[in-house]
Amino acid sequence: MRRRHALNVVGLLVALFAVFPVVWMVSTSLKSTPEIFSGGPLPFPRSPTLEHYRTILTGDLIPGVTFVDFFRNSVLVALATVLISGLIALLAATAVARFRFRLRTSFLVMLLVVQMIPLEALVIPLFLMIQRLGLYDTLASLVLTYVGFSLPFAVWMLRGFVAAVPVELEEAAAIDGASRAQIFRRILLPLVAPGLAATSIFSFIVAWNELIFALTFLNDQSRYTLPVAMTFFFGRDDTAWGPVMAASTILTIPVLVFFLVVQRRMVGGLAAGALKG
Amino acid sequence: MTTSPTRPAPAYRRGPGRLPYLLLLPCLVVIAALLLWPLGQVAVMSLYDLDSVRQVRGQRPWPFAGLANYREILSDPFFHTVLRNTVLFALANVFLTMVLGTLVGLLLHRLGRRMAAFVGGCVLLAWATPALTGTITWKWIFDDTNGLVTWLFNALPSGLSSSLFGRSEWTGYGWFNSPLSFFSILTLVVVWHSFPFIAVSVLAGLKSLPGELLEAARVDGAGPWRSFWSVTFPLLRPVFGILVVLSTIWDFKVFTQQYVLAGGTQDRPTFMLSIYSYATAFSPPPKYGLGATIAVVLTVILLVVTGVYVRSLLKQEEL
Amino acid sequence: MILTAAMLATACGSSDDDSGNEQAPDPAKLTVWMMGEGGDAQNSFLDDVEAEFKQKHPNTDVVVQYIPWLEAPKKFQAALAGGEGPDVTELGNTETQGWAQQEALADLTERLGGWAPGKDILPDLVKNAQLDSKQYGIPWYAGVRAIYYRTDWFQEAGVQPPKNWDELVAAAKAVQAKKPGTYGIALPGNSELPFYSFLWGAGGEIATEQGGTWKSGLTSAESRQAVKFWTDLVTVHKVAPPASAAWNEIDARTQFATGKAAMAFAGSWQQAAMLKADPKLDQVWGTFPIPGPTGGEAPAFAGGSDIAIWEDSKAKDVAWDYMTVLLDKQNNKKWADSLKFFPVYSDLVASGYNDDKIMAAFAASMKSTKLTPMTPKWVEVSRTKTVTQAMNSSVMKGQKTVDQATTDAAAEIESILNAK
Repeated sequence: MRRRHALNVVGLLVALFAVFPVVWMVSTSLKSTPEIFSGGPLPFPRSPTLEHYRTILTGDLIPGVTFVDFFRNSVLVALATVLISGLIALLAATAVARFRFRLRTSFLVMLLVVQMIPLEALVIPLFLMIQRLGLYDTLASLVLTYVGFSLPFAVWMLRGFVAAVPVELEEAAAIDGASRAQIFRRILLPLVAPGLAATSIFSFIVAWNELIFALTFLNDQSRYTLPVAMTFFFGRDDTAWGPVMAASTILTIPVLVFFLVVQRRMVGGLAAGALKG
Repeated sequence: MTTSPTRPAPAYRRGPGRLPYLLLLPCLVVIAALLLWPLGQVAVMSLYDLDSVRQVRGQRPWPFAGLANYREILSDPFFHTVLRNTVLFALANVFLTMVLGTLVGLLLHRLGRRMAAFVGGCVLLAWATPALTGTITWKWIFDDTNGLVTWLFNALPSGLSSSLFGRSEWTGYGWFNSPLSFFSILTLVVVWHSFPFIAVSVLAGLKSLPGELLEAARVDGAGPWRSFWSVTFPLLRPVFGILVVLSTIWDFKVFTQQYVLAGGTQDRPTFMLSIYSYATAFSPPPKYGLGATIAVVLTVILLVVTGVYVRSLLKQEEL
Repeated sequence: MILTAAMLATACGSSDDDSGNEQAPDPAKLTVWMMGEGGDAQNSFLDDVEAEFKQKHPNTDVVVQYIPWLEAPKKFQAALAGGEGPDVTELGNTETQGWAQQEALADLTERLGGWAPGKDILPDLVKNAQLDSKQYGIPWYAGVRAIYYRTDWFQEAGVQPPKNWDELVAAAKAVQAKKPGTYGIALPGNSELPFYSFLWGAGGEIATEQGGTWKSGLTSAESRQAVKFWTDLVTVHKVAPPASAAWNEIDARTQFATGKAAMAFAGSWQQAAMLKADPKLDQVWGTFPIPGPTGGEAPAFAGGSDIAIWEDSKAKDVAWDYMTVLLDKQNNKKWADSLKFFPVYSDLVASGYNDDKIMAAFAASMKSTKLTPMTPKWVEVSRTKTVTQAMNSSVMKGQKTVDQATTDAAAEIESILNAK
């Protein structure tokens, strides 16, 4: 019993370490400027204020463009990335989880290898390609790039979820005369959907977070995504921690929400994914 | 290449023919176009003397440099500092992330259901926090004037703090000043970000193990240490293998956290390979050839370091 | 490649005409890049400029886009690589030569020569925007750094604004003793420009060119005296904290503005930002020029911005018309005043600031300005490798002695500036 208590205490400490920065970010964003400058350790604001959110949301950060626009751009890019990357990854994951074919291992090794590429080095070649495709200064250029960046890991994770779907179900359907397409749509897709959702958080984070490429590929500021807009707070002016933390909170919350929706499926899926494909 | 005798083949798998390749096709096209082809471009750029944007644009000739860029990089003492920083940082971070992640994974496995769900949720929250905002928050926590850490150190009795650290007033102490303390904070940030993934993966692995094995070990009187090394670890070896490979890849390439914490590409003593490559290529005056060379070197190092693991995984047909 | 770029530029430049000849009609829009975050004052000023510009070009809309200072280099490179860029851009006046070297900017030598007001622009500023004696940028506004101080604290401690280096240290110590928990000076240890006033004040040089070879002056006795003085403020006199080794000017200025330091190095343009942190600060602050070692005013670097035409612009003539409106004397004065910078015309700088308790000290320093080495490679020393900053920081952090640090820095500067 005492052992159990000890474990629980350790568990709480771990939880505290993990969530503390997020709590601190949110609480700073709600503190008044004088309270922030006094630097006290209170993990909650003494008298909560929305002044920093007001600064960000109503302030003329960039003439004619509001924070809401950046938010909308980010959401568009992230959702498109998640959908496209999820679809392509599902097809590929099905191939490696359900079939044994000659280049299967080579493909899996390649998935690992491409993750070793330092992405920042690709700015120039990708920029030239985007420009040749006529996609410069479009959100589509970002979607394309982020699909490429998120795909290797998405396939890697998703193959576990696909493998975890019992093969027998598909066999039974095949015996009943269902075509491959029908099996895929009616059996595999619904069963793997939770896993697909769990995997999509990876792609979502890639697309939601990325700064360097967004900065380079976009010109018109009405198309800026949130991370690009964030850089305006770190310009020549001093770091105003209140607004910065408020902006950070706004940038973080959607990921956390997205994540809370899918997190329960994650452990199960990782179990399958980690072990066998 | 590999066969999986444990699982019966589904009916439609008989004679898969071209189907798997068709399924892979979109993925292969995307990866080839957006990762492999640009990587090839970078490799080509590393062989040329490129220091003007007009050259990149194709308006000026590209003088072929052969391996001159590689020679320049490899003989530069600063590159050796950067390489040392990178390797030491990655080693420390992979080690700490794996140890902490595994311990937390084991802990989650032992906790009651509700507690495990709560702690697991909190841990994953850290993982889901974007690198950009997570790091900005840590930077604020370590702010030298109003940051929490500065406040906490100031709150220590000044006698104690001056005897321990030689200072009683911590406001204005530069937490990011020396490379060592910078790297310590960076390690804290990176481990904080990456241990949750390890923990959850290990937990997932543990859940997939037959409970009787661990039970049997416990009945035999094995302590937690022994039962981990004699039962859990061997069974989960493939999981750990993959996790180490992925962590190594990620920790060698840390960029966002360093970029934010160091406030850009100014703090040269704390450079690591990926930020060095980026700064060389893009800080004025741009040196695309050299920057590309560093990127290629980083990729090759990663291939070599992880190649060993990947080969052993391949041999065991565990991919 | 070139063709694509031209086609694209035309496509967005003018909708109904694609003949690229000299008689091209006015483009539908003129893109102007401005550095920083903008703001209400800047917007309304630029609106007025656009209205004036439209009298001549009624069919051209001016589209202003703001680029954060830190991100500007990446943005410029990308724009240059893709052939997509602005027509007119602002750029920091330390960067003009570097971008001219990259062939990003159009040669303005002839246009400037034929533009009467150009003759009145301060010569140092004009020279700073040249490469190989061709003009690539026109100065837009300028400013120097001076020292802000707390008049109330100085009074409490019974000290006067210092006139030389010894008095500076004495004042810092006196105020720091009187006000525990504050620093005498908020020292931007990771910035180079305030330091150069000390270097030049002592008679040192960063680097000079003789017969095509650059030689660094950092190892001279005068330079070492300046480095020693600057770093001693942290290590010996302890009137600035160890963290200041990593502070840039903004960090340092914030210390002053939030009541944590008695003095700070800052430009005149930073008044608004400091008042944002403490709106009542203007009742208790004053300024004095950075002093020379034994008195007088030390030379200051004239920072600021230039305006340039993008080499890839398809509407250079229209762009120039926009620039001449933006830069005419009346607008220049209005703009400089709203920003608390100085206009770039010598006749405008010469008068009108003596009664301003803040601007007077800056106007005094504007009289003796100096430039950093005139070579496009300087930006690598200054921005990429931050050689001077690293030199000072390493001494402040106790990693190197003054002799060692200056020797290393001089060697690095020479190797960069003399590289093929």
